[in-house]
Amino acid sequence: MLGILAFAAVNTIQATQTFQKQYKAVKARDVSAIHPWMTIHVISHIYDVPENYLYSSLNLKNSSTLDHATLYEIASRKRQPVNQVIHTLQQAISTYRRIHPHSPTPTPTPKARRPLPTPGRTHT
Amino acid sequence: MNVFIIEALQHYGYPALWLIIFVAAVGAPISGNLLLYAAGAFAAFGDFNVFILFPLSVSAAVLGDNLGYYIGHRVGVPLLAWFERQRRFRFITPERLAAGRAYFRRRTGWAIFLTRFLIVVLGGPINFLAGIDDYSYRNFLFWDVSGQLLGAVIPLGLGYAFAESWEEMANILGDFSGLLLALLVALVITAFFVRKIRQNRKARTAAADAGQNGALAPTDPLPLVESQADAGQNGAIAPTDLLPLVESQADAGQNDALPSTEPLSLVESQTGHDSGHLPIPPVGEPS
Repeated sequence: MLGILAFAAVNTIQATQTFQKQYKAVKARDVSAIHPWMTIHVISHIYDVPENYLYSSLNLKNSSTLDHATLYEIASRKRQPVNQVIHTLQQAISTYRRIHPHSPTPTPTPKARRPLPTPGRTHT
Repeated sequence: MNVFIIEALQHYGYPALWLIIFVAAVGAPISGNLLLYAAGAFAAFGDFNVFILFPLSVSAAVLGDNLGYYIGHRVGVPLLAWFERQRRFRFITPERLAAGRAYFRRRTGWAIFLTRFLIVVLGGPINFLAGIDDYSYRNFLFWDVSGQLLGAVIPLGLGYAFAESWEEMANILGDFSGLLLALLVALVITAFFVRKIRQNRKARTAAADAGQNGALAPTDPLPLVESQADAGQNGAIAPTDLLPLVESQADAGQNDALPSTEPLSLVESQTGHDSGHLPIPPVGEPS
């Protein structure tokens, strides 16, 4: 019983440490914080990089079908491992920052986003 | 599973969210909580409206819980009766079931409330048990809605606040919930053993006191019989009322099981002596 308790406690501490690490990375806009659950829109929002630029870096067209696609889904469409897609995006963001060092691109405006397919969803 | 949940959320929006939370609340092994973290995070990125997400998730969870309660009420009661009738589940005696139900009944409200947001994994079984136990529906609804309000606010709020790190935040809360569950189990097991040890100590003290007092009058044999039965000692005993001792020794599994059909012969052999306190022959041996 003590073993299970210790295991649960260690897990909780490790989860807290992982969260702190990830949180710091996101705040520092570190590209290592990109996760497979993110969509291109989310990545664009976090790293201030235009969505179209990210799509083009993946050799994809910004279509409505990809609007809500996670990196998992994009990877399966491209038949690539998700880590490779993440790596491509990390490189693209780093390149974009080198080209535009002092002018972060504003987050896409709500008008730029395509309508959501499901009725009832709000648009921003 | 996480990938499936997130992709369903991204592609089908609010209806998918409602359906998944509803199914999870009924008791399916899907993490509805994780979905709420994700929904809160995507709301922070502008994909959802958090003011729509909140009532939607509460309604789905409450309806799912109610269905679980209803299933428990409809299916669980006959199931329990069937269990009681079955001889092959002899470890689930009617007495044990009754004791378990009484224990659960004293804590049902808190159990319902806490499993909505703190130990979420037990939510489905608790709904089912509340239905089986015929817990007052009004009370169930009160505790359920109260718990689910928190159960929606916490993950949605944390997902919204830590949108970029919602997965790690969900892991913290999940692990913390596991830790709480482990603590709870440890507490219950510890309480059980402490109670057992106390009972044994009390029985031993009573037996020692009885031993100091020497022989008991034949008219007052019961306390001695009981205390010796608990302590498992074969000391002096009065000739009357030996059946409880025989039964308790057989239950305790000490000195081998005494055949329950033979206590009368034991009593007869002991009553043959004229002493007020008689030594019990070793149990199991023919008297």
